[in-house]
Amino acid sequence: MESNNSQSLVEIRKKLKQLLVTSLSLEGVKPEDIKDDEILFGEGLGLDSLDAVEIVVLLQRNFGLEVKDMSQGKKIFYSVDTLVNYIYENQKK
Amino acid sequence: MNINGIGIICNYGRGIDAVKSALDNGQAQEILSSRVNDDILKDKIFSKDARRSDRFDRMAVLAALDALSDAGINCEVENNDIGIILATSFGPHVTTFRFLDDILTYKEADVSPILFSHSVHNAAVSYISSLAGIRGPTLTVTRFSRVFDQALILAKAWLEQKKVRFVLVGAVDELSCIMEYIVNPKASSELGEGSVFFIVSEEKCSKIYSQADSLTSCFASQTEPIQSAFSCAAAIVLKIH
Amino acid sequence: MSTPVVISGMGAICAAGKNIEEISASFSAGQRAPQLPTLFSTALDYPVFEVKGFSARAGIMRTLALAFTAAAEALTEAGFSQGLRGMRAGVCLGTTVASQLNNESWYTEYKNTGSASRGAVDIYLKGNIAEAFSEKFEISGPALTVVNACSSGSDAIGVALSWLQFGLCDIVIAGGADELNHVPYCGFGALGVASRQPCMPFDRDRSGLNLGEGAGILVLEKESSARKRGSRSTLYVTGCGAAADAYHLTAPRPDASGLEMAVRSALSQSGIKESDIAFINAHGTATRDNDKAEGRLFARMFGPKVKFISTKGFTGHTLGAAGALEAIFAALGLKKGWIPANIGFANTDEELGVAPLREKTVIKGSYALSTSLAFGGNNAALIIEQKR
Repeated sequence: MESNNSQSLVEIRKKLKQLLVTSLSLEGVKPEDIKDDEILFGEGLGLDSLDAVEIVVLLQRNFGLEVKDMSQGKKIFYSVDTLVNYIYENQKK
Repeated sequence: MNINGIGIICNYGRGIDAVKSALDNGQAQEILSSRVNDDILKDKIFSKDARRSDRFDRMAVLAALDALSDAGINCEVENNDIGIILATSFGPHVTTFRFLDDILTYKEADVSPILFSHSVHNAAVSYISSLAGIRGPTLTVTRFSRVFDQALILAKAWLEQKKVRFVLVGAVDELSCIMEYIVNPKASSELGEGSVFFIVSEEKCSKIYSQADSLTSCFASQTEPIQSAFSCAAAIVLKIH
Repeated sequence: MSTPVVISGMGAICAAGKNIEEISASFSAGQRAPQLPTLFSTALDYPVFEVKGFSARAGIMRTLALAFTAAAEALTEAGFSQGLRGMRAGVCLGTTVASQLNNESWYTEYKNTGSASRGAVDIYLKGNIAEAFSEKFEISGPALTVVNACSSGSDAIGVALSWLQFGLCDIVIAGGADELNHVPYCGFGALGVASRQPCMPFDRDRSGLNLGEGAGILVLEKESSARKRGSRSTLYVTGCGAAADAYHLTAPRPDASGLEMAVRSALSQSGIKESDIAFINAHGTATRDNDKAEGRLFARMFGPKVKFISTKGFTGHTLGAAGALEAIFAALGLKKGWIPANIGFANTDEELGVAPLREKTVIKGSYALSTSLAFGGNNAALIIEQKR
């Protein structure tokens, strides 16, 4: 059970990084080059408000997740890690 | 009204020199009717803030920035004194249809906001003004015929009223199979794709290509065949050369 | 402005009414009825402001039909019921929906089979609203459709002023129109700026916009031409300022410096000061960002007691029609001597430093300002004068 969850976390991380690169047109960035603790907004990947709403849709389409309360958004969307953990903890089994 | 700078993106490449060599090789007609190779649109300016721009936006941005540079205009100094008018016949329709694809493929709540925000006609001018730092009035206009003529006349009106000192006036159109199907080649004249921007002013800058005052009267017959805005503007470039 | 420009006719249609008097009655009664869409089927639950009991005849886009309805009212008032043949006239109109082939069933057929019926295509190719107006009203002068997103209607009026000042024509039919359509309905929802409640412009708890539909048409005319024809209108457009944010594709500049430049330009063209403005018809979409930026600018430029309202609580955000409708509402406010309450507002947002009018308010004074901010960073400011 333990190893299945860990695997799932690794898969989520890989899938998310790929989706970020393609959906947000991160030109010249390879998914494998994105650090796990990379900050999404401001520094780090330098995403903006339009990317934020695109990520909301990305979560809905690919993981079946809704971000119902955008005031939680700041914590969830802080870094690749926080986003991955959110998906892992909330994904539909 | 002087033309102080020109930028052009067409199937033969980027910039006046690309057009010149095509003209020298007797390829004028192909400029007006061919597709733009995507390699021509590669530029490092699209790697950061403009990374989400679509093909229509990129053609517009490159021609517009090239025109500014050709005219030797320093946007940091002149930024409030430059206006932008972009004329298009078909707009960023490729992205519009990609957004329709999203609506048809996914649930309504799962459509891409990036695609939607790029499916509006004025996204290209937003990119030009942001990348160049231009704060003057900006306008996107559309008709199926003679839209570039009207844009040029409006640019002259802006200069006359001293609304701005320079106008970055241009035309952009993109082609696709679906637009060719919609317009139906029998009914249309020219459906080329590409982008042309002129810097016009009443000023004597270091460069003056031509006077643009012999403008078509706008009191002409309104029944015109469908033409891409790009074709009209490109024809002017060819005339100047 | 060197050539005075008179408003010799106005016409409007939106959810608040099918003509100016009906709209005025809704404003006076403080009534609105946003509801879920009936024009298309949807699982989304954002309320909208539809024009009830209105349908386009077969063969034309709803946007164009709305525009023609408003135009009929405006042209009748101006004395041009028979059209504009032989006049030195132009047309400039703003839109967003009508510039695109947003027909899902047509596109589905095309995707599945590689071809599709010409009906929808013909409607689209004959649907450029400026071209269609030229043909219907026999307008032989300049004609342009402005596609500047939410400021299109205001910007179209700005183009008309430029043409008139330049001497290209004596009369311009100017304004904007947009129908409620499923495509932008999904789009604004995806952007996270649509509200699930009736919109609350400038309110502390506002949660986004409601889409609407409609058309606003003005007949703008050189004063000399209007007087020659016997028009006694005392409404003028005295200034139109426009400036770009150069900031972001969907977010306005937080400091509203683009809008400030546009407003200052309009004031300068009109030869007046901030204190001459009797009231402001704001853009006021009820999004968090717009209302904050705009509200703080009003506080900064006009002081905390500035009289302003957003009429989008009555009409929804009518996109390409908004700037034109709101110019008409500003003119109406001056003419009738009152403006409606900012419907939907209940609690002051302390971050703004200002609050809109909570009640129908008597207006004294000769000048009104109408502001528009668009996605892509266009800002427009119009000043209307009622000569007393």
